Amino acid sequence: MQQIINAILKNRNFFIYLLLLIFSLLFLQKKSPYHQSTIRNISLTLSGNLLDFRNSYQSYFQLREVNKQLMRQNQQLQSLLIQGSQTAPNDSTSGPTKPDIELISARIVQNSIDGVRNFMIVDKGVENNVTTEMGVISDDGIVGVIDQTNQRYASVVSLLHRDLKINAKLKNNNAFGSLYWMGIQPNKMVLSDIPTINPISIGDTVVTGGMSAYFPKDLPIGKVSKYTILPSKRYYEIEVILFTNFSALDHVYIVRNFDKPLLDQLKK
Amino acid sequence: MLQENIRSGISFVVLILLQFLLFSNINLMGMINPFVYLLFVIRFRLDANQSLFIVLCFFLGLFIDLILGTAGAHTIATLTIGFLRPLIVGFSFGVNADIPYAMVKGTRIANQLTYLGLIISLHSILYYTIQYFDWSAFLSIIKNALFSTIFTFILIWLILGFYKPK
Repeated sequence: MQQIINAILKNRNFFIYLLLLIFSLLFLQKKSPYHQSTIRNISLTLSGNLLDFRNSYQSYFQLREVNKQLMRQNQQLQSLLIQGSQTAPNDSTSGPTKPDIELISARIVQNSIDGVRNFMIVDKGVENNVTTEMGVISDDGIVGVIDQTNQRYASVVSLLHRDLKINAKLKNNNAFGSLYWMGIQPNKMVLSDIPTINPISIGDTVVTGGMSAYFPKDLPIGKVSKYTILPSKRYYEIEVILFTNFSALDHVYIVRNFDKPLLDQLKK
Repeated sequence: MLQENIRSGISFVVLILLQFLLFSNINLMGMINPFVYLLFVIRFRLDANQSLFIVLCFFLGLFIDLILGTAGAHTIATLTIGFLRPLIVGFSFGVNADIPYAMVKGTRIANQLTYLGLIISLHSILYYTIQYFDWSAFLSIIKNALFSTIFTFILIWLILGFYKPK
């Protein structure tokens, strides 16, 4: 205490100055409306910036929680969306039915795009009801198909895999074809086997066909960027730009189709 | 010493009155007025109690502000000049800074000019900065501060010439 008093006494001129300065500022603020509004403006800017700063770092620490929340919401919305699109408007007679699709959210722990047969690894496995041949989708479009699983992880055959063929269609006219990767650019695929009797234009959306049990139908895949007519004049060869950015994938959803065992049974 | 105090007191009152009645009505170029009341700050004993001096400077500015109705600009400028005066004296007079008065015979004219110039220009810059309180008016602040510094400087130099302290 003695030391504090000594320090104040030693710098008493400064403290007197400070005190009187504060008094003059108050005086200034009180007397002049212009200064009053300017000072208020300064304080608003200051506190605004401080609050902004506080919010930004607080939200940074909450990011993990927010992410989880968003994932949950997305998962629910996606499954609602998919179920909605699967149900034809005229078969809503039977009332609430058992959902035939469930989404399991997962994070990609490893991803490659530089090979010709690319795989990913996701952090969900048998524990989370993930089995082989389940489709994997992201918020933007489809990603791949589950290949192998163990207790906690699963490997995914990426769309960017030369041997994977996906059933896809043009959204406009429902013309079916199969989609595969040429193995060159990670954002371009080829849609083949679409008959030339179907009109096509650049920018048309390509969606999943729903013929396979991997993916529900009408999930977005990409956009037509170029097309040529094959020499036989019967089919198009269509270049598709993918919606999914495979180099920046993080969260994905695994599609659990409850009807798949039944479908497989029939196929046999 | 008593005589000195009385003289300071009288000059305090007289300078405020002069500033109000005469110098603040000049309005050169529309709004430039000399701040002749700074004579009090300039002529106040250098070896006096600094705390007392700061308080006196504050009241000097406050009275000017109250009379002229300029909110707090004069108060803040004068108070700050009063607080900074030891530094200005040290800078202007160097090793001879322990003199009792600044503007006396015997100190070098260059030192006196520096002392005077620093006090007046700092005061003007502070005053106009607070008056405008807006960085977009930077050029106006500099322009006004420059003109008022020159004007004040000439007037104070003349007055000091007429009234040479012993």
